[in-house]
Amino acid sequence: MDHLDLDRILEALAGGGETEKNHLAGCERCRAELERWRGRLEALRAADAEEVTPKEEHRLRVLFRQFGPAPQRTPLLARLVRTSAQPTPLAATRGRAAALSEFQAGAYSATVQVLPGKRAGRYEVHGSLLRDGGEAAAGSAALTGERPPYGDRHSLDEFGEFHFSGVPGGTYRVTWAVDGERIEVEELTIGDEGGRPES
Amino acid sequence: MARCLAGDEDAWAELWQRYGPVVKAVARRAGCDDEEARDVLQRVALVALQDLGRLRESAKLPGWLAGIARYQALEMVRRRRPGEKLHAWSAVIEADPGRAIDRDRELAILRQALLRVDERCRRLIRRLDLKEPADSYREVAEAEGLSPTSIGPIRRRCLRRLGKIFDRLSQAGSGDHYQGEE
Repeated sequence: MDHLDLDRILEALAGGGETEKNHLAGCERCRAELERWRGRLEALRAADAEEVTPKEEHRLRVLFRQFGPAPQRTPLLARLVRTSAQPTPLAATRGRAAALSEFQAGAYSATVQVLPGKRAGRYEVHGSLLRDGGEAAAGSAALTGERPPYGDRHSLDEFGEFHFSGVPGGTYRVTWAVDGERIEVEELTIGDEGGRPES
Repeated sequence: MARCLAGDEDAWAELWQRYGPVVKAVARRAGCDDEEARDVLQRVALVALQDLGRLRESAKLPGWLAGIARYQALEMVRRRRPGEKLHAWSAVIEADPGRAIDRDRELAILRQALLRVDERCRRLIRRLDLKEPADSYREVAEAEGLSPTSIGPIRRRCLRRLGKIFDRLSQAGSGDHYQGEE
């Protein structure tokens, strides 16, 4: 049996002619294809009703300014100064240590601490960014990863601290946007998975 | 994408005016509410920012964004259900019931196709196939300065054009998203 091609399926979707109707009456495969297209248009209807509001666009623009490509500015790469495994009450109950890493980037010093999260395979990441002299930096921190695809951003609080929760194990980049500068920890491995999908 | 990579903020905003609605629609299909859908949009944008170079191939962009949006949305939804297990990225993709990831990807491509048909067709498809309730042929004919009897054939032509572009984009973008790489 010759089945309806895409043109004729869409013809049928828009009312169609007798030929299409007759064929559809006796062809399960073409009816299924027609239904698939109905479903696609239904989904498109829902997407078409969505919009990016001016407020959302503003937030996206801010993200771009803070973390987007900025060829005129070379990011300050944070140098690892020291890393340690600190037993904590939480870690002790889980049989894991919390990793604390200290970084230096120009006139800034940063800490990043990774703790086991409340759920298996998820982690809490928190830390701080301070100017030399201990003054809290103002700005925001982003944690991004390719696998799993993760992206989150938080403003630094009055102590220059940030916190991300429920982070899946993987390899990440930490980026701070502060004082018109961009500071990066290029690679931060979180969890035992080291970027592998956890089971 | 080239403009985005060159640091053009307006190009970045245009990108999200184009694809943001799909990201939000995917988030809602995964069960996100308004606020969560907004968060998903931000998170997907951040992932995209770190990997802008990858997005140079525009045909592959919709599927890529839809896959990331789905993952972020599922994470978001599961986080508010304390008893529910969170899954790894690979598990979300592999155990995807009913191939929802494919449907999300199709949606993203179909939306891209809609933006590529000519303006009149886009208006007609919106008024006759996407608007709820749909406008009547008479209303559309009046607005377009056409005869009501011509609307049916034009509508069919427009849908066929949409289908052809969708087909082409689907082939160009196939095998791109994370699913194929896991």
